[in-house]
This record gives sequence, structure tokens and C-alpha cells, in this order.
Amino acid sequence: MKQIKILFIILPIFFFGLIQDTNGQCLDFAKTEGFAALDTAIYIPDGRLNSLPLSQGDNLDVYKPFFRGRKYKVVVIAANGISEVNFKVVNFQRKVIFDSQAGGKKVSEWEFESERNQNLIISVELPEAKSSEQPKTGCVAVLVGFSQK
Amino acid sequence: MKYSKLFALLFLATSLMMFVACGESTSDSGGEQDSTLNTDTTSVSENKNVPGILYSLPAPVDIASVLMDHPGAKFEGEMLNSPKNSTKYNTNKSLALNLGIYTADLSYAGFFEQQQITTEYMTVTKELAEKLGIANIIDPAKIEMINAKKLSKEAMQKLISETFMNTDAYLKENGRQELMTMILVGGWVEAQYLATRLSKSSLTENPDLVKRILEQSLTLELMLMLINDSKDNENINALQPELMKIKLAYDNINQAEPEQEKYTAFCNVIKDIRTGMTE
Repeated sequence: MKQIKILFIILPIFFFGLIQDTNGQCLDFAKTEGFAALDTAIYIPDGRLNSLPLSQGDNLDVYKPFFRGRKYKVVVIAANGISEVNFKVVNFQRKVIFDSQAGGKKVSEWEFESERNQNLIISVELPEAKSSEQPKTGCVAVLVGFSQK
Repeated sequence: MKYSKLFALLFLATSLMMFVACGESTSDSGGEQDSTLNTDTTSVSENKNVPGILYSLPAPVDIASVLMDHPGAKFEGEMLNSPKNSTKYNTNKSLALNLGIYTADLSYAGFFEQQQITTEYMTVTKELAEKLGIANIIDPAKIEMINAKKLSKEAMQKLISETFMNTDAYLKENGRQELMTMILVGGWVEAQYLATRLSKSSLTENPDLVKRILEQSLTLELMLMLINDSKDNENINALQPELMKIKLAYDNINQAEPEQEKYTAFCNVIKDIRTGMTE
């Protein structure tokens, strides 16, 4: 009975530690790979770190305000062998403003100048794994930089 | 048999914990106008499997640059929250709100390349962060770097932005996102306070700045959505009435043709809320 009690205490601690470690690795990845992709020589990181561990088949929505007359760069990256990550930038009515798969060429970043003030959603999608494969889990990070005129 | 049931129970409990840790919020939203940037009108279906929604409220460095990046903006150091006040803040709520406030002051000073004041506010934000248990976020070498040589506006902003990202990362790693929400609210209120003071509560003194101040209703909209999703936290819930006062003051103003009386009322609401946070 004592062993069972110990098990009750140890297992959740173990899994909690595992989750914390996964998040930590995710944030490290976002900072190293994300900053490089953002091109911080041109774009100033907006100061926010949007990252989560996701599995193939998951989606993530990042809500963010964009202000008129500013240039932005949105970068979406994934780690741990997740080769395909798609994203759309949509407004609150889910109208598509940018699609990373449009024109048959997949891209992982978008540079644009916001012509007006708008709250937009960066909607990230990890396609499902093939039915014969186990879904992979890895860190997905969305980073935004701005540039002043 | 007993053991297999026990393991099944533990598996379920830990799976639930993992799910909760990965997710942040799952609420829906609405109410924004169409964008002029539309290149495609395809409708996106609702996300069926969303483990999390992240509200990426702007960091103080971002807000400061949005408000101040125009020819009429200038630096007025006396508006800032004095570093001497830092000893007054002892609760998690007051520490987090004022960490946001000092970060906005720091961003404002950095934007105008105020080397000495930036160093001073970098030091006070480090102190407050440490009081909140956020250790080793601000590298003393970075403070020394600002102090030792003249950095450009962009270099200052990058340095402040990176430091803020470290705080964001630390709080996420340690499951203390509620502190980040309070830091962002404090930073946003302070940036609005500085901007309204610079406008001298007048519609005509600096019309471009007034326009930028009023455009911040966009950020407030997201802030209220985030707070609505974090209602379980007492400290965050307590911020809602204050932010609702700002929303009402915004709603009273016709953004196309603002009236002086209503703009003055708006500036006073911002001032009162900021005073409540800093005193």
C-alpha cells in the first residue's frame, strides 16, 4: 500500500517535470532558430515568444494586433522532424489574408506592410501524419518582428 | 488487477495534465472589420483541433514604438514612474503591474536614446523581476553595455525586446503566465499614460499622436479577451473593471470626429488607473 502511495506522488511529479522540460526546449528553439529566421538585422523582435509543443494534426491560433504603416515579418517554424507546417493569416471573420501554401509554393515567413490597424489571427496547422505513421510532436514557434521607417 | 486499475488511473491523470499544460485557452472571438490587405476571400473552416490560443499582446517596447514613432514625439523624463517608488511594491500584483510600467518607461527612454535613464530603468526592472522570483533575466553585462556606450535607437529596442522575451520565456517555462498578463497590462496603461500626457489631453496639440492613442482600442480588445479567458485568477480578474472603464471611455469617443470633452475624460481615466497602479 505504501508503494502505491509513493507511486501516486512520484508519477505526476515525473510527468510535470517532463512537460516543463519540453516547454523549456521549445522556448530555446524559438529563440535560436526563430531569431535567425526573423532576420534581426532588419526586424526588431516584437518582444513576445509564441511557442507551444504541438503534434501532427494539431492547430494553433495566435491573436495579434498589427498597426498601420508598419512593416512586419511573421515567421513560423517547427522542430523535431516536423517537416510540414502551414499557416494562414486571417481576420476575425476568418477571411484569408495570407496563405503559406498559396501559389503552390510553401513558405514559412511573410513580410508585409499593414495598411490599417487590425487584429489578425496567425492560424498554424500541422498536417495529419500518414495513417501508417505515429504522429510526431515538436515545438512550433510563431515570431513577429517589426521595422520602423 | 488492483495495480492495472491504478496504472490506468495514473495514465489518465497524467494525460490530462499534459493536455492542460499544452493548452492555454480555447475561446472563440469575433468583431473585427475586414482588412484592406485581403488577397483572398476563401473562408477558413473553424479549427477542429486547437490545443491552444495565444493572445500575443504587444510588449511595452512595441507599444512605445507604435505611439512615439512620429515627428512630433519627444522625451519628457518627469512623466515616468520614479525608480524610488519601487520599494512600495511588495505584492505579486503590484510588482508585476509596475514591472510592466517600468518596462514601458524603459522602452520610451530607449526609443529616445536616453542612455542614463535607460540604464536606471533597466536596473529597476531587474530589481522588480528578481522580487517576483524571475532570476537572471537581465544580464548585468547588457546594463553595462547601455551605460558604457551610445547605442542607436534600434540597438536599444532590440536589447529591451530580447530581455522582455527572456521574461516571457521564463514565466511560460514556470507556468506563471498570469504574471506576464499583468506585466503587459501595466506596460500598456503606462504607454497610454505617457502618450496622453504628451498630447496634453488636447486633440489639437498633436493630432497624429491622438490618432495613435485612439487606435490602441485594438490592443484593449485583445486584452479584454485574454482577461476574460483568465477569470479564474483573482489578480487578473480584478483588472477587468479597470480596463472596462477604459473601454467605455474609448467607446464614448467618435474616432472619426473626436470631441475634446470626451478625449479629456478618456485621458483622465487613463491617469486615474495609472495612479492606482503606481501608488
